[in-house]
Amino acid sequence: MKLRVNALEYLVDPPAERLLVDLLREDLHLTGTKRGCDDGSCGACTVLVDGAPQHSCLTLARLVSGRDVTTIEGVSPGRLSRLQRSLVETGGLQCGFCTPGMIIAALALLQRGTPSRDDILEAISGNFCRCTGYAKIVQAIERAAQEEGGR
Amino acid sequence: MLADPFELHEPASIAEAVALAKRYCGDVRFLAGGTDVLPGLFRGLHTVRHLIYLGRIPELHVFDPIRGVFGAQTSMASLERDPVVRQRFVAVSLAAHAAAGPALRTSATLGGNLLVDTRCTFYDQSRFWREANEGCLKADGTECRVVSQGSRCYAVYSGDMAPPLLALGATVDIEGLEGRDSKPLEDLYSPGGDGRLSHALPEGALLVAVRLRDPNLWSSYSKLRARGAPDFPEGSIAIGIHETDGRLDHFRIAVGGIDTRPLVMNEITRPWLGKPMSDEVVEATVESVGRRLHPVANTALLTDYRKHVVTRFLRTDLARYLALRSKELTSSTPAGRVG
Repeated sequence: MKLRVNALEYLVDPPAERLLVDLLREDLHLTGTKRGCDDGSCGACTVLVDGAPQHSCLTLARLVSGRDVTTIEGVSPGRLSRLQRSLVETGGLQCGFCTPGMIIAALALLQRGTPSRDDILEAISGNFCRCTGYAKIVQAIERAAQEEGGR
Repeated sequence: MLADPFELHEPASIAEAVALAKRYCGDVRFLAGGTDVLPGLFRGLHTVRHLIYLGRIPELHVFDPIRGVFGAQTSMASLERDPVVRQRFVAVSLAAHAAAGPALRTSATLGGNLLVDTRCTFYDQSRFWREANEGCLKADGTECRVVSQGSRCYAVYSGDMAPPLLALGATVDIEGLEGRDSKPLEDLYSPGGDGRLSHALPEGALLVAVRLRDPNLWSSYSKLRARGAPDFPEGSIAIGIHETDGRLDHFRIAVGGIDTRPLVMNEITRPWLGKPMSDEVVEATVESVGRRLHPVANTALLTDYRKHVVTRFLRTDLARYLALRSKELTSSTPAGRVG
């Protein structure tokens, strides 16, 4: 089957039970997407499928055939995006395990315009962070949104 | 790879899906969004060698909020965001919004949520955890771990969508081996009260669509949970009300997250039809509903607390309806909230 990941096309033939997260990490070596809870509660495995956030640990790889997948590696290849820079500057990451999922979830929000604080809280409500206490992550997304809006 | 190998079928029509289900009877599950079935497979709660993916069937994607028809593959995100659903079926939109986080709602479907597997602290665990605990009535064991010497399973109906749809009087279209049938949503759930059965659909039958007829009902949905997105309801309550000429002609209440099936309180609300909604109705209803709630200790929160909060939600939501009605003197303004 054909799979488009980060604007590159791959020809793959995963078995039926292969999960998208495993295909990304083990077959395509895109290890930025993290595997956490395996039941959709932590959000570490979040990727964009046709622009919408989706848990790659709850998605069979075969079912994304022909669709557009964006992982953290495809967000801003070779340099930090505005949001990534903002996370670094505000201290919005510590161990970093949740960060790829957090960024993908926030990107899905930022694509829709300038969000309110409630919008941000809602957008990352399915993503666990066990280090930062969330405040700095929210602050970083707000800051990135403001910079994006003022650009 | 955590799941045992299985074969994935991707039928393009309902007839093809039902035929596949018949062919692999006893060794097959339908797969909608995958957010409930796949974790169940990983945990060894279901062991089947065939999965029938429903996402390629156009008829299951029907989304017509004007006519009130929603295919079983309608995503929770669509129900949450659609402006017509928000305006005409408030409780449905609120319940969809209250289910999980945005990424899960992209995949999760209406049909999957209605037929979600019943949950229990002693069931939704890894195979290793369950084996160490010698299993339970619902999986791998012979004794209930919640109710000592219990002869039935108390696992809880934990979807968000059934209470609001029941309160609004929804019907469902089912495709079975004998053809298409339409029935009240209540009939989708097992009357026996055993949590081992998540629903009363015969094996191989397929939920096709949900239908809502009346867009003019006032409705509300309130949900108790310890945390936000990741938690299933610890108790939830939906209300649907309509009055004509100051008298109730629709009054339905449904409760989720408490019993093995969503509870519809028709025997409590029906006697009030034909009478005006009043403080007296609110008080009597809250008291009667409270007497019907018997949660057991199989979720994260204390049973008394769950019961207390659900009845508090009921009182608050009915009071809000009364306040709104007295302000606007209209019966058709929809409103609601997530508790």
